Amino acid sequence: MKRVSMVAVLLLTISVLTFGGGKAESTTKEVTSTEQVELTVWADSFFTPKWQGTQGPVLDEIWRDFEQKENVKLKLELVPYPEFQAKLLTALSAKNPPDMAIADQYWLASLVSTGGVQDIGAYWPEADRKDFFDWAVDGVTIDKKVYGIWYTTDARVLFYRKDLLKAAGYSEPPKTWDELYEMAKKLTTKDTYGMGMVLAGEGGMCTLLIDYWSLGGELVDISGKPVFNSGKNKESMIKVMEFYKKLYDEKLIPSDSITYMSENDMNPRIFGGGYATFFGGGWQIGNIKDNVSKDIASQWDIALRPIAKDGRPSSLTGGFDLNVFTADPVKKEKAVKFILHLSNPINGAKFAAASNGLPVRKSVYMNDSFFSTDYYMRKYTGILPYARTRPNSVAYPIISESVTKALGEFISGQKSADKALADAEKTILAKMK
Amino acid sequence: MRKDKAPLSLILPGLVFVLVFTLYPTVYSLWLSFTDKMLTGGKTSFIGFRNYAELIERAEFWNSLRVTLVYVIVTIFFQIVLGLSLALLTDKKRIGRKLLRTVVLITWVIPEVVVSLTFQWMFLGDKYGLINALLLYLGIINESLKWLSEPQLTLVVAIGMTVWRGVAFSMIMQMAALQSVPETLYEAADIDGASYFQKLFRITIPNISSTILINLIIITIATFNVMSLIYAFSGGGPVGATEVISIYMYKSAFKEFRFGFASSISIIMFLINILFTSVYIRVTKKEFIT
Repeated sequence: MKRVSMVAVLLLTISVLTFGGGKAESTTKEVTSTEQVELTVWADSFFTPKWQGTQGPVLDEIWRDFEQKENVKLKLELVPYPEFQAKLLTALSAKNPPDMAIADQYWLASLVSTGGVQDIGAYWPEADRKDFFDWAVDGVTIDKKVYGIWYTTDARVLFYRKDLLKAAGYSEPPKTWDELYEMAKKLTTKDTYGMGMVLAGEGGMCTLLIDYWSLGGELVDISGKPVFNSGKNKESMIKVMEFYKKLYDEKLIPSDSITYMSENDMNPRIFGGGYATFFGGGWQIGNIKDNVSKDIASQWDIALRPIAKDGRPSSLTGGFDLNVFTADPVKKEKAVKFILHLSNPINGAKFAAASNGLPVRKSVYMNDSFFSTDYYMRKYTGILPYARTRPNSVAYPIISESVTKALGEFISGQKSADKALADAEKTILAKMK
Repeated sequence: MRKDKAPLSLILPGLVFVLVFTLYPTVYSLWLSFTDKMLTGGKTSFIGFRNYAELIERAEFWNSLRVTLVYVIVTIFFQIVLGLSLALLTDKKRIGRKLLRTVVLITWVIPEVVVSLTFQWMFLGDKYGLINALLLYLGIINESLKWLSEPQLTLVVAIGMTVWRGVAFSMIMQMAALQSVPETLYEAADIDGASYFQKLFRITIPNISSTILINLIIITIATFNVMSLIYAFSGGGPVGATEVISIYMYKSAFKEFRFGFASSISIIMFLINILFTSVYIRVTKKEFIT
């Protein structure tokens, strides 16, 4: 009898948890337009008034200003970046997301695939939209629906030390792969690597995509099917992989490059003077200024990444966009207003300047006193039009994981480029089934 | 009647806790492992054993099992041996024993991610890494070692890092056990003229063997399930060289969002954990009885 009761308790608990509590429906009541609206916002602390750095007080003022003007209470929930995407996807699958979030742009396709992201195209004035770079609008648009507004960005570029280049007899940065290779050979000493790059993880994928796009390569076709292992795409991919392997084999880049997953992993060497040049992200200018002497910091400069003979200028933008999940019409309208408030030319520029980020609006680079005059920002103005975003494909994380693995296998000599890419394609197709 | 209900009411809070936070997630994971559940939406279907069949076909899975096996065995060996050695060193009244205990214990309180990043920076593959700089300076090596790019070397560093951090736990366990060994046994052995090693192998180790076994269970399970320590250190790289099974599961679940497939890995991990535990429990039971 006792056993029967125990089994009954067990089954009851499991069934309640599985069928009763598993799918929490949102219980938020609809609000009328006159009462104060509470908006739940999920964000990494970096994008919020809670940040203990320069942008914290700047954002505090911007957020408070909105709360007062719009009679809105912004309820901030901090979610650390490493677990953000998984947590947001889990909340969306459970139909219990926050009202809005500040999310990494390249997650958008995965978020939209849950059906929980609101199309806010109708709320975004056409005139305002035109102020954004084309890629910034394309990057938040899927199947002609606008699922967010791009907030802040960066661009992957070549960083180089002017003093070291000058000492080696160069007056300007390399423009082609051949020039980069020759220069890296000259600049590599027992203390310094001629080049630095990240070749694993998502950082590695960003490194690779820029050169791959430069040669006309595409990762996926319109339907989202991976196409990197066929025809011209495969040729371009192999060309890029072989170039990296040459740099690796000749010890012009550190051997650790095949373990590094983020551009930030290069920081110890960057700060220690271990690189003459490296492929990095826009935010690293700020990191360098904060961590090396003024003299050395002033020697770092940026340029478009060198290209192959038959390549075209290329860069990659990452960054964060603002998404709305609440379907409540009043809350949705307020959420979009908050987005437009955060990303307007003045507030967007204030945040970008304080956080070492780059604005996504063209007008800011022309009108803002800092972005229109700062040396690096002037350079980015010339680089950003060549930038692209990673494909808005649900399969992208799987493709990225497998392609960077193939890159590592080839560079470390475990597999030929053909075999590594064929295996990657096979794995991706099996996982996409 | 009241007497019958009393035990149930006492264990009920614990039982509910286990049901909700242990049994339910386990059963739910088992269910998920038979589905094609993706976190990125879409319809979830029952697919039987297809995830398990895919797992068997995947070279990454077998690689992660192999890496995990090497990692666990070598880590356990060093953690037990070094833990016992340190416990013996700090057991008797010696100069500096309190300092040694404190220094060793510090390793246990440092957060895993801090340990990982510190090791990553220390083991950079050129003179910018502290270890290479030291070895070069002392003339032990002529050329920098590729700690983070040679697969075997990276695994060695990952094991060293785990041992460095975990040895304090092992030491505390053995130290507590050493306190319970009757001093009279050593006095009798001294009278009989026993050497240090004879006392160690005939008195100390037999008397603390049950604690060593419990320690072994705990370290095995903890090491088998280790995730953040290695992930923050190497992300499982280079090219899968340190991709232990928990990292493989994490990537499947939270990088590729294949929850069904990742659940099948978690079930395999669960079964292996059960196997370890039951083997050790049997051995421990025997030890306690004898």
